[in-house]
Amino acid sequence: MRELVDFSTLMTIAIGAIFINNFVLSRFLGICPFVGVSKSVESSVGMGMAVIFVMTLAGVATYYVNKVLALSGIEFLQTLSFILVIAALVQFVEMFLQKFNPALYSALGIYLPLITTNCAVLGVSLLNIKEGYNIIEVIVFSLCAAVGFALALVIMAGIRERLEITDVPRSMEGAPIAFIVAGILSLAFMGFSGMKF
Amino acid sequence: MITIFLSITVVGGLGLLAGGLLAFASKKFAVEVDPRVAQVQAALSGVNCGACGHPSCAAAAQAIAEGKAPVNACVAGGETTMRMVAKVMGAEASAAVQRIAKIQCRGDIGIAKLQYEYHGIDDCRAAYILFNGGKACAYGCLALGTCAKACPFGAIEYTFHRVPHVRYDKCTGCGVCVDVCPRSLIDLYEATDEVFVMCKSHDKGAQVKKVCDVGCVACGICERTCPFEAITVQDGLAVIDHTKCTKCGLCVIACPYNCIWGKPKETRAFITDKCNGCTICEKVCPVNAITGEAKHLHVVDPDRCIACGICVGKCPREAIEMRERKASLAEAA
Repeated sequence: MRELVDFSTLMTIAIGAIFINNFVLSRFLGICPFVGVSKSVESSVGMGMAVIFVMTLAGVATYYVNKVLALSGIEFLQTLSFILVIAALVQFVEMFLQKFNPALYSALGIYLPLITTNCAVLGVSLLNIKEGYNIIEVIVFSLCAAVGFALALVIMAGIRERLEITDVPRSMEGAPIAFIVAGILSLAFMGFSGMKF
Repeated sequence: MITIFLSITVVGGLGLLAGGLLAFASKKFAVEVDPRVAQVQAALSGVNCGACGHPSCAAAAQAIAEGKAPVNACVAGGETTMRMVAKVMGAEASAAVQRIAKIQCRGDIGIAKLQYEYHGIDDCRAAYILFNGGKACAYGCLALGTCAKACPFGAIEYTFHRVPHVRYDKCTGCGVCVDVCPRSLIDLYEATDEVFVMCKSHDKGAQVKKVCDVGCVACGICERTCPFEAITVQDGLAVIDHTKCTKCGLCVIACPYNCIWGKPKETRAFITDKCNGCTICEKVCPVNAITGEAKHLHVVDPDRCIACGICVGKCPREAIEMRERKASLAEAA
């Protein structure tokens, strides 16, 4: 039995989630918001914050849901129940925020419901279980995976804002050049693989 | 068997739990929202042009519903939007004057001279920072299409290195382009205005001629031509007073540098048989398009007539009317 809080393990998980196995750039999860919401830095920060918020909550919630599933011996229903739980959770949090924290609600805005059934959110829940993390590790991993997602999104938005004013061949404008940039960005992040602690 | 039973119980339970939680939350955390906000927002165009002074259509809808903004706040939507909003708010409202943008320069690259060849970021504002842009004329359009990119309605057509062109069927008068033009060449006019000076150069005539073939040199011909004193030359530039302008189009023809633009006219004057041959119209016609002997029916030459409408106002028997050009050509034939 491992200790509940082991800083070197947590550090490894954090660095691994943010850089080495970045959700967008090396696991290729959550590509649609990565391309869709990366047109301006402002909106990408909003999306990033919403993802951090939801992913951490969803990671914790699904950890306990999985306990229930494990008790009943029906772990094969993970995907189904996780989607159900995440969707309900996001809806609940949205209503809660609208009532008690309208400022945060309007800051997260449209992005909160957008990521309800995002594959990155489901991915983090499934990976938590697969890696057999304990609750502290689940929180750290979920948070850092989301931070990694937000990081990739903001970097991408910064590049795309520059691309807006550069002379791009007509046929490559918009999404095509964005995909090429995403590929190069992903190559750059591959440089982190092999990092050991 | 037990697995199937457990699956149904656990997942069904989860679903019920989630459903119950959400039902509870929607009652407990319900926020009262004015239903008119959504209705007003549905009536607005949703392009977030910002012409009304609010950051987005949603914010404008909120302001209208709260009564902080008038029902005709949406400049871009025009009369139909205004009616729909007024219906939601239960208020009577008259539309704000419909306005259109006009880019006042004719100096395409090639017509107007360059002071240097600009190869940089494809944006007028970027070019403007670099020694005031590539145009030799300090007032000319930089022709990189920043206004066309900024237009939220796709109403400005831009082809490379030519002065962009505003499409009046799409322009809503929101004024976004007015703010982005670094040369301040775009102004908003009332949609009923038809004659414009297509130059903003305040330079001396000799300097204008040196850099451009279609610039206003302040020769004053238009000022002397205008029968209604609607054009005056002010500070080296002809200026049209649109409250006096009758859209007769005489200045358009008179300008030797072709820098006054008038909306092409589809009508021509036509003299009906009420004419008693008084010859007044013949005398007032500025282009000598009317001929006829005294006490006989006069005839308008539709090829020479410019549809200025001066004769219509002068005829004592109200015998002259404006007809579609094709119809009047057919009559003449």
